[in-house]
Amino acid sequence: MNAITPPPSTDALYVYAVLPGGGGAVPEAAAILAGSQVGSLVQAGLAALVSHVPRCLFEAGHPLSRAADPGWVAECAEAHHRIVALAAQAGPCLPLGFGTVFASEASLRVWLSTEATALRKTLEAVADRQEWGMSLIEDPAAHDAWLEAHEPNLLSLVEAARTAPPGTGFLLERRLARAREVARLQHKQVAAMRLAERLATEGLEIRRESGEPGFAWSLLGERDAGMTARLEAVGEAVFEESGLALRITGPWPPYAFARAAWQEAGDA
Amino acid sequence: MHDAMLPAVHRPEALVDVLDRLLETGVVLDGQLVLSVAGVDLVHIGLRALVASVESAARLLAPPA
Repeated sequence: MNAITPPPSTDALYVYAVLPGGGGAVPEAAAILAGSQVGSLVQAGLAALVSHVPRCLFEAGHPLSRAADPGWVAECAEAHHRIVALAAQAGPCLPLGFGTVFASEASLRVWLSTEATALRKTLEAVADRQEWGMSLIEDPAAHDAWLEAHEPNLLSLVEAARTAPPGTGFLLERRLARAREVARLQHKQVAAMRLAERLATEGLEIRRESGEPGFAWSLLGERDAGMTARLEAVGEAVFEESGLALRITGPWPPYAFARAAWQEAGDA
Repeated sequence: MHDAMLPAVHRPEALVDVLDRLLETGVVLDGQLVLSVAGVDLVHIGLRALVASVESAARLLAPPA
């Protein structure tokens, strides 16, 4: 006889974010799972935004787990973001990592009490702030064309490779490929440096992201309705100056900075 | 014409951007799996599997390079 897997029960708490004090209004949005609701659990002067969920769905290795189903996870991620974004719009909000599930209400209360000081400190660090994602976009062909138009040495090499006899031409093409690679990297590094200088004048806190080393950043700033437009203007200026485009996303709740601030609070 | 090269601001509602943003962000509790205080099982997170799934979903949704 096959073992019977018990049906999932809503025995755990999914936690979206931690808010200060009474927590304010609970966002009116669909919870991470259909049929459950978003509520708040107040403990130690903090309010956790939560939904009841079956623990097994998030548990890797459980027969009913859907943690390895990209479609389901994408839907959950969208719901998580929707709720955190609404909470962050309403006031200070510390987003928890996507997929944070506490074993029970009692265990969440223990955690909130135990970590209350660090949580308050982290909340303070990201309160009423927003973040943006920014990265340099490189289209290698367009970049090469831009460099040839602006770097006389590279243009000379292109011309030499084009007019050289086959043997020499082959060697020159290899030299040109290496020169292009070096020039692209140097050009991106200079563009990134100038971009950082421009962003510094906007009073933004900047952290480098690991996605594309050296060329992707998260920016943290006060809530400012005009900031996105100003970042676009920075993007236009960078493009005029370097031929490189910027990809800007946001404003977001302070996701990346929350993790950094939490780590700092833990290290202190 | 270089419209495709102009900087674009993508709205957070774009799912691929959401997935990218949620990947490795937010406050993560110790070790991602089971955190205990005084022997109490506080949190159980299938986060490693979720993160792998977020990566897969983002790859599926991302436009071809």
